[in-house]
Amino acid sequence: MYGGDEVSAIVIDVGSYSCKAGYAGDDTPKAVFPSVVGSIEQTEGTDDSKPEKEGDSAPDSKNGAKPMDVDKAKTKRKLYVGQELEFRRDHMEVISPMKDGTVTDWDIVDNIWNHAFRRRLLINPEEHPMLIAEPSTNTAQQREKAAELMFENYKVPALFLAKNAVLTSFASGRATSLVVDSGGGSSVVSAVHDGFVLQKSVATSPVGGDFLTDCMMKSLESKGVVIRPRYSFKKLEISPGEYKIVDLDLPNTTESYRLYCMRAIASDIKESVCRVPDTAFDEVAYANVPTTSYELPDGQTIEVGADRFKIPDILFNPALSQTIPGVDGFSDSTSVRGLQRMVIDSVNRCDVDIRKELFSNILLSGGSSSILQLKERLEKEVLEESPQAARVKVMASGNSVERRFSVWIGGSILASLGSFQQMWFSKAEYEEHGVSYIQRKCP
Amino acid sequence: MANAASGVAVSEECVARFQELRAGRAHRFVVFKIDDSLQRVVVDAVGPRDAGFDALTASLPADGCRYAVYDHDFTVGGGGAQAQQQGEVVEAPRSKIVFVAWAPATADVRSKMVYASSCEGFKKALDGVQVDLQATEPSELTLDVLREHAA
Ligand SMILES: Nc1ncnc2c1ncn2[C@@H]1O[C@H](COP(=O)(O)OP(=O)(O)OP(=O)(O)O)[C@@H](O)[C@H]1O
Ligand SMILES: [Mg+2]
Repeated sequence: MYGGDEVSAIVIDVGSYSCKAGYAGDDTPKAVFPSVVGSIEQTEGTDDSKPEKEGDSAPDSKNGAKPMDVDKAKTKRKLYVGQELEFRRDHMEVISPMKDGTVTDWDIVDNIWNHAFRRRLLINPEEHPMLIAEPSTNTAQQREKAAELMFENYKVPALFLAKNAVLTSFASGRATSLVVDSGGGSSVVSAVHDGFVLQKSVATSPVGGDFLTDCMMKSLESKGVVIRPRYSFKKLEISPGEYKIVDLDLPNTTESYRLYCMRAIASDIKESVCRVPDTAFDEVAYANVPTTSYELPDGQTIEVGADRFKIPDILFNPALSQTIPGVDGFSDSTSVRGLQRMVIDSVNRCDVDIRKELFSNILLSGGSSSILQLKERLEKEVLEESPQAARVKVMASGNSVERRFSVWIGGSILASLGSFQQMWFSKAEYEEHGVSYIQRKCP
Repeated sequence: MANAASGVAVSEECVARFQELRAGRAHRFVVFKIDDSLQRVVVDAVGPRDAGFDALTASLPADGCRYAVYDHDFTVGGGGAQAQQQGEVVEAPRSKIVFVAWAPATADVRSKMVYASSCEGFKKALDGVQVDLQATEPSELTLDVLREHAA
């Protein structure tokens, strides 16, 4: 039992695209920033990284948060988190702590947490219980790793690990549902029954929002569009109101940084123009659809036509991406299924008794659930492939903030409840029973 | 225990009314709510034995969450033509206790979260529920839906 309910808990959801962190009880996360970080390898003594603006970065293994991965700490690197990533630096690579939805580099996660707590929320983690949202696919080992970091390095008074899908389901008022979370790095379908994730039902695919962004970028490039990252040019006013673009020569910019900046633009294009087609995309039928214009940062105006529909259709038909020049093939294409297939497969892995209930409570969440007409199309596709007796209903919150942040919002409400104070895994329990007790406290 | 259970407690009165419905068949339904301090589940309304399913749905707020239990009476057998030919027209009465989780889409997200995260714990406290019904709009809470679930 953790007794300190006078201080508010902190809720943090580190996704593969963005980190959402804030105070329990708030309606939305106070801090939302990228989950990737900049990294510059430090060769002894020389620190020629020369930031364009002095950042508030902390080198690894400072700030009381020692990385646990000793081997990682040995390769000395300086990490740039949050807004610091906005400034281009020579030799700065952009790296992600995750692969396929799970953490592969704890040192980066540690830096992201640290940034969220000390730089953005301005709190001392020793004083606040922490609720961490985690993917359904997290292994017992990863959960223990997270708990160990929290208790040992951040000295938190209490901790809770809540599953993304359960938080989304609860926030919609349902103890039983099928949660379709289409986020950044992946799309995940999980059945939740009476507040438990049915592990055998969890279906994942690498086709998430970030893959769509990549497809958008490659498709535009293949049509000759040049996306100029913001850092790579200057606008010169040659006469009043008339500008000339001058490309800057920055040879020490890394390829990963260039791509990161181009993706940010492609992602905005995607978010502004895309709409899921009512039926499967067809190159011929969409050849002459009206285009939508979009103004790039350098002032160029581009016209997006069939891609408006083709890109989001990849969620339903991943193979469509392979028609775009330059898009990488899937390493294991048999596991890459469309969203409708994932839904059907996931339901079919559950007990016959609850299948009907799941079909009529399909919840769309995650950033990509904001694509227009996604809900309608998913419902139509699932209806076609589901058993006749099933009443298929796909729901998404009418509020885009609630859709994108459903996981965080669920955690925020839960952690602020007076009754929840007895549910935390407290520091005393950690010290008494050890880290593996997390599996009991947060099943 | 569910993954992110709220820890909301159950008042003794809830269990008592439920037992009266189950063992004593004293009520047709009982409606429960979570008290304003969000600490405990308490009894909100009790439906007399002669009340119907309509009376239950009428006592659920349009934009607020609730739990309810309903004692559903129905009959089996007596139907089929073959059974009638053979003279087996006896209808056997049956009853099942249905648990209803009512969370209308129009309720605010805070109460949806509190009710859903307290549901499993509450259901466990009521020993003897046979059928589960989760509803988010009136069309999901009709006599037809009830019959289908109880079948
Ligand atoms: N309006 C929109 N239309 C289309 N896509 C959007 C929109 N808003 C956000 N996205 C996309 O959603 C993705 C991010 O979603 P989200 O924040 O749920 O990811 P995450 O939680 O960080 O990642 P994950 O849960 O997959 O690990 C990005 O690819 C972004 O481009
Ligand atoms: Mg996410």
